[in-house]
Amino acid sequence: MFQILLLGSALAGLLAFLAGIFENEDSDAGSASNPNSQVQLAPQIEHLHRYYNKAIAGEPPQNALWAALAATVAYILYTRIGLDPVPGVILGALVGALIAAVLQGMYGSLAHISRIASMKNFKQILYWDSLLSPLPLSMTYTFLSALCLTLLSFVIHGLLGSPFPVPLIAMFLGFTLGAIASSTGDVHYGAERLYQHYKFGSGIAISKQGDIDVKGEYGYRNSVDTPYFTLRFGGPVTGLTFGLLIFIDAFSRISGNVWTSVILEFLIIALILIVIIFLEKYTRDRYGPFEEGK
Amino acid sequence: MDPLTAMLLIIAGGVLVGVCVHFIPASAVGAMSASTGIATGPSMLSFGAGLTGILSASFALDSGPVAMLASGAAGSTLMIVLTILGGNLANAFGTGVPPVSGQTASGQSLLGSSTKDVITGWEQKPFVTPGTDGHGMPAQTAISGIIGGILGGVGGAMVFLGVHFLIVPISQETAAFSGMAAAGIFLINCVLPAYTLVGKTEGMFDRKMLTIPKTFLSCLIVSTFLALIIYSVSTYASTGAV
Amino acid sequence: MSAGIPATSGGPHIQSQKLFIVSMITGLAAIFLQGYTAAYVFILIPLIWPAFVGSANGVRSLASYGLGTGTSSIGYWGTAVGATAVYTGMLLGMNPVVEIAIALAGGAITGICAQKIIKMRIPVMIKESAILAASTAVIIRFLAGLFPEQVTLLYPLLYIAVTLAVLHPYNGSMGAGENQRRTLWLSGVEASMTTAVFGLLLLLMAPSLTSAGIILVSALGFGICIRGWYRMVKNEIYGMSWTGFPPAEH
Repeated sequence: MFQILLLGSALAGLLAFLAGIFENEDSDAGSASNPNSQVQLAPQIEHLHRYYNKAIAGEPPQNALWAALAATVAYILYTRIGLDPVPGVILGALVGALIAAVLQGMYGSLAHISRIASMKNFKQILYWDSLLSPLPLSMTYTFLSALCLTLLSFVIHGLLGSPFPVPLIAMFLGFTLGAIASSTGDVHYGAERLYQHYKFGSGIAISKQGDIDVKGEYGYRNSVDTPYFTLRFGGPVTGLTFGLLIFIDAFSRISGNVWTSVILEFLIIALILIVIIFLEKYTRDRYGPFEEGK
Repeated sequence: MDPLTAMLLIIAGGVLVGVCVHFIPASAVGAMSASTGIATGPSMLSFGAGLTGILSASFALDSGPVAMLASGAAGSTLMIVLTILGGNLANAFGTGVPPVSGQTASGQSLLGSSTKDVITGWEQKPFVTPGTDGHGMPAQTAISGIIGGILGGVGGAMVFLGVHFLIVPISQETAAFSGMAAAGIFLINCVLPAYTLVGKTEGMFDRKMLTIPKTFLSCLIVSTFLALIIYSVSTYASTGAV
Repeated sequence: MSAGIPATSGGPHIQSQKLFIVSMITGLAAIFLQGYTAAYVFILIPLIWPAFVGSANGVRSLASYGLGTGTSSIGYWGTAVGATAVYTGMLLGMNPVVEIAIALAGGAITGICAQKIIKMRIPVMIKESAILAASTAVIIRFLAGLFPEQVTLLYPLLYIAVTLAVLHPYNGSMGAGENQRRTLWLSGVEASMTTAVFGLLLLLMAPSLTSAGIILVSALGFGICIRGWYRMVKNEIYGMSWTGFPPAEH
């Protein structure tokens, strides 16, 4: 029992970490969620761009849909095929994630074309190659993150013993992962990558919003150029947050008693709070007060 | 547990969920480091936290009501505090800005016109980027987020518990249905306060806390309606009247 | 009678009440005929598409008032009320009309709370909230009834797939030049995508000609709606080209 819980929490932590990285890169390979407001705003102030304006919905419900779809297909296939647990689950998860990725590609393209069609007054042209270049990249990242979330739901249901059925766990995890990724990784994309011509070290003032980078290191920037930048920081931070959450939650239950898990989790919460306050003091001392143009 | 207590549990849980949205600091514009709070919308963030709470509480289904509530609170608070840490890391090393509260810096905090953080006493004004409304999550918003996480986790677990007790006599797959119904009630109660907050709040030291009575009343009405439906379903089923 | 939101181009404005009545008639007819058509249930699939279109129009009406918290939230709450009513009713085998009535009441009550207590000041709030909850309840009841026995494992997917299909048309078309006709064509496209997905799930669960029929009918609807939508896109877009540099001045 103890060994199964240990294996389950280790696997869950690993899968959650990977899912976090892939989900963040998916939302950066096409401009999704909150920073999308900047890409939407840019043509209105005459910054015509070549980004992929992938406006499906907020990140939490999107990821809930890809995860729930992949997990439902995986569960149906797994119970029908009747293979041994490990090959059956993996095969089902692969097929399910593939279907979710295709659906995401369709939703994203429809949104991009439709949004640009509504921008006639601002003279934004629809470039087909700026849609078709990032599209396979975005679909791949969705495939990977749906795959990891499905396998994670199976681990939580099977190895860790949650009473919820697999698709329900997948939907919950999709919402949580979307909320986390939208809060951590998107800051790196929205405040840094989109505004590289502003100096490092300031938030984006309301008056400057929409003034995004349209040209990149060489030529015009496309959405394919974003993941290689955010993968160096935004992705791993998201993965760390979600992975720690799932791992601590699963590992604290290892003794089998509920109350030790609760006490352990609150102790870790207190520890993280101390780290947060320490981080705030460190940045205040290091960065100092705001000084314009140094 | 008798059905009436279970129904009251659902109503109380729904109201707690609505109130917790006011405590968790969130703002959509934070993704551009232009506003204090976790960089996503308040309704979706509280919903994600509550779902983590319900998932944690489900592991304690056989250990009694109090263990479930505690487990839900722990899971939900852990998610909020880890998100605050992750967001502060991204702001500090990705954008290069310290966590600072914009509302306090402009002297409009709930407790008066001091421009210092309530918990640590650090001065906020010099560190705000001009033209923005703060960035990151300073100490006072972190504490507020923890309180919000505890409230939300307890509320979600209460709704789950109440629905579970009402459905147990009727159907086999109680966990699946109770989880789904709890998520639905949670969502409706999370979206209602998001409209009072207009997309941005800094937690318990924000002036918008004064609108809590409106949230309380509307969540009470909506939760009562939904709880009545589930209650009548369970009583009619057990007496076989439909 | 009701001022509504101007269509801004592409034809006269379609009022929500008319769409609501059409989707209720076709949707309830589809639900009742489900029991009688057995293997030919795929003929009824086009009857449920008006409900998708009506819900997307409800989201559009509410969201165009500029709520400040995003258009998506309305889609979630409307579908949540409809879904909770349907799932609770299906647990007991309630009459579908009772379920839809409960959803309508739930949407109205939520709308009243939003309008009177939170004071959102949107004139059509109560009406559109009730329409949204009832239409999504009809969709979910029909789709859940397609499957052979009560499958609670499909409930999460039903809920979230309908939520996205209902909120995406307006969210994906947002902009200064958005108009009702194009948004509703897009909601037709996504309605057929959603029914195709559920046909695929039925195929995986219980392979038969019925499920293949559902996928084929959905593909047909997808083809028709995408031609209509794309024709409007070509009329309204500023310009299309394979590649090129925007005339930017940085």
